[in-house]
Amino acid sequence: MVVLAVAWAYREFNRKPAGLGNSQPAFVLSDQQLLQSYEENEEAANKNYLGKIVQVTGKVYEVVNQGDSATTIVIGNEQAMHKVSCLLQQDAATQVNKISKNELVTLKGICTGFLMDVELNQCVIVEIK
Amino acid sequence: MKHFFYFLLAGTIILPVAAQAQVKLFTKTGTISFHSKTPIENIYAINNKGLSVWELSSGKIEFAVLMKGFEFEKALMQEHFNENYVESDQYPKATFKGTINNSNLVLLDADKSYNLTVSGLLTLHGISKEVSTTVLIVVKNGKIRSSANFSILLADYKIKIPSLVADNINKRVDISVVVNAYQHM
Repeated sequence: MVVLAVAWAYREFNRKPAGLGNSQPAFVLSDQQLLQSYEENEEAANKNYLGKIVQVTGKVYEVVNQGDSATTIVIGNEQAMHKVSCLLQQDAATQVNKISKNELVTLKGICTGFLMDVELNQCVIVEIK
Repeated sequence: MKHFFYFLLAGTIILPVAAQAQVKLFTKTGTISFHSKTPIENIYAINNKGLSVWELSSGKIEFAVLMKGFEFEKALMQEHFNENYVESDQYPKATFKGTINNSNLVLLDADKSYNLTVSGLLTLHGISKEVSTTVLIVVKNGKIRSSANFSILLADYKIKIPSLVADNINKRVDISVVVNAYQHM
């Protein structure tokens, strides 16, 4: 019993942040729907989406490589001030060279809130259409 | 569309005159990291999505970062950080609004480094406190990089650490802010 408890405690202590590969999204929507709810009322949108797995579909505006294997896919309309900025999970970053501008993609990630863009973290690519 | 072209046209005429006075720089990919070190545990977290806007002539500078965007090595640390310490559901953002002194001396067309002072209000966990530090600005080949370090006391921001783990977390946390490439707005 004690051994089990210690083993559990050890695993729990060293647990890595979970990848999103097989996790079910709490919300499935378009980039425009997500943006609209944040533009209308940030506080209310946070109550819905903050910390949740959100799956969005939209057109790729740009792919930003920050080095250190941090890659972001920005989706949204060319002229729009606010977009959805998806920071990829490290193992998803290898898929990124398959993606080009204006392509329709579906990504899921954890919503961390709204700055200039709606921010999703630990994103994985669900589908490239 | 027509208006947009007028805007561009106006820009080409007015911009060269007003350039130095109007320059606004921004980034959406500032790196904010923090470090707490004790003999028992090293805690490090990083956020690569800091937003910053810096007006060169006045020196006004702002940062905003999402608390849930900090990534830790261990899941448990990340959960405790969000749920218990900074309460990121209630306070999703941290912001800094301040001024870089002598910011107007920074020339964007010459390779040069500047050591300037910056001070302003850091808002975190719903509490605003004055902080000041030095910022190193490096202009090289037209690229503008900035970096600054400072430290805060958790108690100043009413971040409570349970006594059980109090020895694992330093009461003073070192914060590093790096912008690799400011862009023109």
